[in-house]
Amino acid sequence: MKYLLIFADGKNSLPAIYLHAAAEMKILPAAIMQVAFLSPHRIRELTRTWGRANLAKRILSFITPALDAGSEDCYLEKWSAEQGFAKERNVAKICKRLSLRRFSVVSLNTPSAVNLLSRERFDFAVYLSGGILREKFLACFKHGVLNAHAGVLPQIRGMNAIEWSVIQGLPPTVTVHKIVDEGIDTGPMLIHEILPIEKSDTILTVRGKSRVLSVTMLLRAVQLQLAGSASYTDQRPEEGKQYFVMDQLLLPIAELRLKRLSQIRLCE
Amino acid sequence: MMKLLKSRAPGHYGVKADYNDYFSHKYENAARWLVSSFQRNNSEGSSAWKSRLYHPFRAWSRAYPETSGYIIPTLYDYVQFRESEQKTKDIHQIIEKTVTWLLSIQMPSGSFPAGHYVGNNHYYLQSRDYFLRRTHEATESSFNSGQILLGLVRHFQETGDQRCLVAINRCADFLGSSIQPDGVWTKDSYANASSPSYFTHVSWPLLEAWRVTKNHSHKTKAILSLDRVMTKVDRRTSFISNMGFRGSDSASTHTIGYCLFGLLQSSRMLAPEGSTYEKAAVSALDRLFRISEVAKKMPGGFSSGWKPDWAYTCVTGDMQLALCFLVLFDSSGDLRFLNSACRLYSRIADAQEVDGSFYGSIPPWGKYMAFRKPSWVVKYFLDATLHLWRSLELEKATEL
Repeated sequence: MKYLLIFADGKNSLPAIYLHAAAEMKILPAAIMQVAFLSPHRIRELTRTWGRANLAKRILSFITPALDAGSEDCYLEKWSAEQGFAKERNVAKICKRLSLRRFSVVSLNTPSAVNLLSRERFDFAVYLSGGILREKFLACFKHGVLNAHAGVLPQIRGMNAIEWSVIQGLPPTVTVHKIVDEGIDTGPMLIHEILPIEKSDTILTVRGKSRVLSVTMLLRAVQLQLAGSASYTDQRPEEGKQYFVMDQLLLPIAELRLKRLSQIRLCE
Repeated sequence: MMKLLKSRAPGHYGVKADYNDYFSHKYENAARWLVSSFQRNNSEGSSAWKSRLYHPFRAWSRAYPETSGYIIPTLYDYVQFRESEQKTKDIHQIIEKTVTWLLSIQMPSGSFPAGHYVGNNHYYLQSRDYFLRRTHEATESSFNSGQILLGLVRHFQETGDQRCLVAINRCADFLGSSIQPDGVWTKDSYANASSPSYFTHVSWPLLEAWRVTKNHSHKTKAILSLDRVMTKVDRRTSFISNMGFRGSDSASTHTIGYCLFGLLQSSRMLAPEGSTYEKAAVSALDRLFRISEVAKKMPGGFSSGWKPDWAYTCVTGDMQLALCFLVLFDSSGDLRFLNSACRLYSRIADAQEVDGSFYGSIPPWGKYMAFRKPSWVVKYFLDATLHLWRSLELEKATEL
């Protein structure tokens, strides 16, 4: 069985650390597919999502080296250091060192990307980021695409799942599920784990922790898939709701609920 | 530059963490501007808009009876919010003078007139009348009468002013008489006999009047009109035809907001009878919710089958739809609707001018009220601010 690793953002630590961890566990992908961060298509999509001002800010931070100490990635970096993984974060260099093939595409759903995948015949894929996946793209994988969703499934689907889980009083959870169609987070679920939260946690720190848990759970899911022992639980569309990006006016309430949740968890 | 780079990228964490100051500032600023729209007319009605392009010297338009009427509930909300403060005395005076003025221009038929008041029972009916200095005698307007009813009913509920009760009865009788047995409104100088679907925003005031007058025929007539709108709902797409001005299918979110809010409020007033009205509004709002959430903004208008017009944002429409989402949140408790309202609100609040006003469209040269700052945008902004603020505070206080 061979699989593909898919991601979009060339700068954040997630794909690099995933590859270091997979190499350690000897479950490396056969190849990686990287969506160009600054392609015209993606810039158009991101302008719509973030707005011009925020996109400009993102691009500026993309070309500056320092990692913000308060960012979500610092948890991933800390975990990587604890595991003794290499410090290399340049995915191209990592691929070269590990002899992995690297495909770069403008968008995952372009005919060239789909043709390439049809030729390569991967059994499944691990998805870290890259936009909405269309039917034609998904049809290229016999066993679907694995995705770590930072929310309770089937209840909380879509964007900002941690914030939405917390504000609804649900514990922050990471769920690995299979993307099988264009429905947002509606595919069969494989494994899930509740994130441990502490009194001092904020939404930002929980998001950081969830990135670490996402990596470890994806690796566990890949192990299960490769061993042929993955057992999925189906979910019905009506069992959950799709959520969208949470407005900043709701965030103070999410923070308050998180504090309350941590108190409840500590009492338990 | 480094400060900019280090700030959280997508405007997400920590910003507006304490929203009380944020709302308070926006609310006060907007209220001050709205009050000045009355003061310009010696408190006898609120000017329709402010524009140096249309009115280079005076800037403010003439008083607009329609919006002056439905701004009254907004002023009462403001007074109640600022209960303890001395300055609310002025607001009470403005309300009193405006109501007196409105009663003085009520027509013998019970209707209120269309257009902007020039004086001596003459009105400007269109924007070009300002340039041509062309005035018209008072003409009946069902829609404007409905909006003014909202103000009169609120004033009567707050003060028990018997003059208002008489005016409400006469106005509601006029509205009742202007509905045909098939639910079509006939007496409106602007819409003529096209009877657009957004006249649900007349049915609702008629129901408000029924609560006060206890005259059952007012309720029956309102239902007649609402049932006609129900026949215009496309079951597949939930689009309601004729929502635009003069009954067109191409509508700005302003008239869509009127239509849906009218349905929601009518349903609330007729509960449990009016559940079909609520269902139609909820289905339409669900479509709008998905379109705006995926695109991260609301188009300025829609045509048949929810075909969006992305060329502009209709500011007042966004605020009206935010109010609709807040009503849905109140009834369903679904936080996604609260989020949608927050998103629409945040975007518009960022476009507030220093003086507290808003242009009718974003960009200011957009299709709706180009280069003008309408008073009703500020009215809906104030209503949305207060409703949203309270909803967030309630949600904050809710235990898990």
